[in-house]
Formats: sequence, structure tokens, C-alpha cells
Amino acid sequence: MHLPSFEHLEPSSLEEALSFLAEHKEQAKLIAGGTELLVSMRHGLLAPSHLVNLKTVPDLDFVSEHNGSLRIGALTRLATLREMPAVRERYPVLARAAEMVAAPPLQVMGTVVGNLCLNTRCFYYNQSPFWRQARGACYKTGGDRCHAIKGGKRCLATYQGDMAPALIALGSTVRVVSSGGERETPLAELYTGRGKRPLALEPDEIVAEVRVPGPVDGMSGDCQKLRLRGSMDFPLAGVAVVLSRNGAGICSRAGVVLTAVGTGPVVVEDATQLLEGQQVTDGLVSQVAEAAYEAARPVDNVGSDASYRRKMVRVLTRRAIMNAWGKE
Amino acid sequence: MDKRLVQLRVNGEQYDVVVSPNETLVEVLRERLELTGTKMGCGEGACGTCTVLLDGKPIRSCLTLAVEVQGKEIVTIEGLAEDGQLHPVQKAFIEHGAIQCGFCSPAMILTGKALLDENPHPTEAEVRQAISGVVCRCTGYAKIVEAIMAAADSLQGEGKHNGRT
Repeated sequence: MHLPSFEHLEPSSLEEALSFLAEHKEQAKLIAGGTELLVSMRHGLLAPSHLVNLKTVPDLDFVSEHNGSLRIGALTRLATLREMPAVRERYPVLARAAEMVAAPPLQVMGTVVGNLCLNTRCFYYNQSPFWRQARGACYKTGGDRCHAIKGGKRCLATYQGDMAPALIALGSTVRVVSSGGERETPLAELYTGRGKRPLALEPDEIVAEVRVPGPVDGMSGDCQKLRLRGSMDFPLAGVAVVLSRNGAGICSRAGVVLTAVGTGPVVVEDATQLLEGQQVTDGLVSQVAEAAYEAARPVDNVGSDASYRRKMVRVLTRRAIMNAWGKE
Repeated sequence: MDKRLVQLRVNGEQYDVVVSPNETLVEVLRERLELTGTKMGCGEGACGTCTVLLDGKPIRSCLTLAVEVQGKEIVTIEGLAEDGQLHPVQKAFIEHGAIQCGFCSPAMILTGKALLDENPHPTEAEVRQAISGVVCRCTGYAKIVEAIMAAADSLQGEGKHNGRT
């Protein structure tokens, strides 16, 4: 199946890329790694009239440290994050998250920001036109029903990004630019929690950079992921945990964030409350794992059944906390 | 939709090709350059049979637009043999029975070569990690892993004889 046709634009600056987006609005899509976009186009889910190649914009492929914080450019590949010694040493949870995305060749192609900006997915959406035509349009494709949940009142397509949990748990922000100006927003607020339109981004905006606060002493983290084929699939459930342990052996800061169990990344607020100021005991880990289980709201629309995925959130959260706490 | 003249460097040779923006690299390799060693499998980036090396790294040519790889070094399976001699990874695949139906073999061999270029002495785990992006439905992977490990040994031996490292 060939890709639908489009015009291919090659901006030579970020300003030019932004002006292309401003000109063509919804009809234009950015292409960086292309690993999600081109599949969606092949499936007829997107048919942009213009692709704006971000790769011709200079100075967007970088990982740098500024005043102790880390900056990741819009064109930085997942493989860069996976391999870079400074990242592996100071932000090992990010390297671990990156190496769990898809498979190595896709990490060479795909970008960190592209993974953050993944569209939500659903067994009834990510299919060929031939497959989808038998059922008619759902909320996600402009229809008035949900095929995954009978009688569903809104789109519950699942957010399956691997990078967002770790980056949110680290307290990251994103710098979003448009031809009208720029804004910096917490990464967690990039997600609307709506399956149909998961990103709080206007068609003329670009996520130019991710900013990760510097690691504090005693900080450690871990990611865990459930997938059908350990070598390549999207997560069916995932969790990132970032903990800080102070000199007295107390957990001074905690972030627990889930993926693939809702329409956006799920920040487990109760986990932070339970952990902060406490010694991490086996009993407490069980309570936090329970809180993560409660926060997870998977539905039967990706890979494996929802109740299994939800139960696995408990297991993965426990594992991630134990690993993170043990690592420090 | 404007067609565009692009210069592709494939296996050390330059090709001038007029392509549409929506043509993927695998389509151009197979249908224009008739380099059909690169296989088109799922077309969605999942199976990995369309793997080629782009500037030395294995990538999915089904998810790569031909207009975006101008000036980059592309290596396909046809480019591995030198002077009629198969590449050590290719020889090892034959010797170890790592080829059955053959559909994943170009991708597996290129992935193995890219790994050995970067890491001449990989562990078995590193080999398995490297080829994890390519699906094989026949071999069960064991013989492919054996072949790449054996190729690492033979490249090392060759290196000693030829002064290559």
C-alpha cells in the first residue's frame, strides 16, 4: 500500500517551519522520525496535504546541560538518550525508558519528542481502511460511537508513550513554540486526557525542547513495561518511578507515573503522598502499588485484556519501587 | 505533487532518481533501482525485513521517505560482498544454517554487520538485543545468533591476518 500523496516542505529554520504550520494548519504535519506518522498515513488515519520535515531545521538535535538541568531538543533520537554517557550516568531512568521503546532500529529513527507526542491508540483505530470500513466511524475517526466499550460516551483510546512517565516523574517541562511566541508548560499538562485529541497542542505549535530538572542527591528511578513481545511492542501497561532518599534513609521526593492504562499518562498522586517523608518498607510498597492499581483505568482496546493489565500495574509498580529504592 | 530529483548513494554508487515525496526508500530500492534483496514485509515498521543501513545504522526503509535520505550512505544486502567474496556474516549464515525461507535474512545479516562494525566482540545478549527488531518466523533465532557470533570470531581472525582491527 502506497502512502497518500503530499507536498514535502524542507524548512531551513525553526521560524520557517512554524510559518509553514501557521499557513497550512491541520493540513500540515511535522515529520521527524516518521515512525508513527507514516504508519498512520498508510492506514489512512491521517492524510496531510503537506509534510514539514523537521530534520532540515538546524540545531534541534541536542542534549545539553544548563545550570544543572538537562535539555533535550526536538530532533534528539531515542538512541541518543539510550547511549549518551551523561544521560546514563545522571538520568539512568531516561536511558532505560528510551531503550524500552519499540526496537533498536526504531530508536535510531524515532525522537524523544515524537514519542511524547504519540497519538492515542486503539485496536479499532490503528487498522487499515479496509478493516475499519466494516464497522463504521468511531469517536476517534469522527463518528458517534465507541467500538471498544459498548455504549461508551467518549473516545477511550489509550496513550502508549514510553517516555512520558519517566520525564513527568522527573518533573520535566516542555518549551512549545509557535509563530506567535512560546510557552513553557509542565509536561504533564501537554496531555488533555482525551482519547480523541490527546495533546494540548495547536496545529501551528512545535514542542521545541524538553527540560529536565537536575538530579538531586540520592535520586534514583526505574521503569517497568508489560508488552506482548519483549523485543518490540507498545506498552500494555507501564510505570516509571523516581525517588529521592535523604541521608536519614527517608524518601524525600517521589513520583509514580503510569502509561498505557488511560487516555493519557497517569500521575499517581496518592503514591507521592504515601511515600514522601516515609521509610520505604515492604508494607508501604504494597500500599503504593495498590494506589497505582486504583489510578489505572485500562479498557479493552489494546493488546491484552484490561483486568490483566490493571493487575500488572500493581506488580510493575512494586518492582519499579523496589529497583529504584535498592539502586540508590 | 511535485516530483523531485534526488541523488541516492547506494552501495557506494550514486543514482539520480526522480521520486514523488510519498515514495518510501524500500519502494525506490526495489522498484526503481531493482535492488530486490531488500524485502517489503508489513510496511508498518513492525517486522524489520526492510532493514537497510543508513550511515551505518540499521533503519526501516518502509518508514523512510526517499526524498529525506539524499546524501546519506545507504547499504543494502547487495552491497556486502566484495570482489565476488561474500561478507563474513553472509558466509557464517550459510555455514550455520541461519537461513531457512530467507525473507528476513537480508535484514538479519545487515543488522549483524552493523553490530559487529560497532562492537566486534558482542556477547550473546548483545546480539539478541541488536536483532530484536527483526522478526524471523523459521529459525527460532538460535542459528542466527550462532552465525553472528561465529562471524565475530572469523572477522577477528581475519583482522589478525590482514592487520585490520
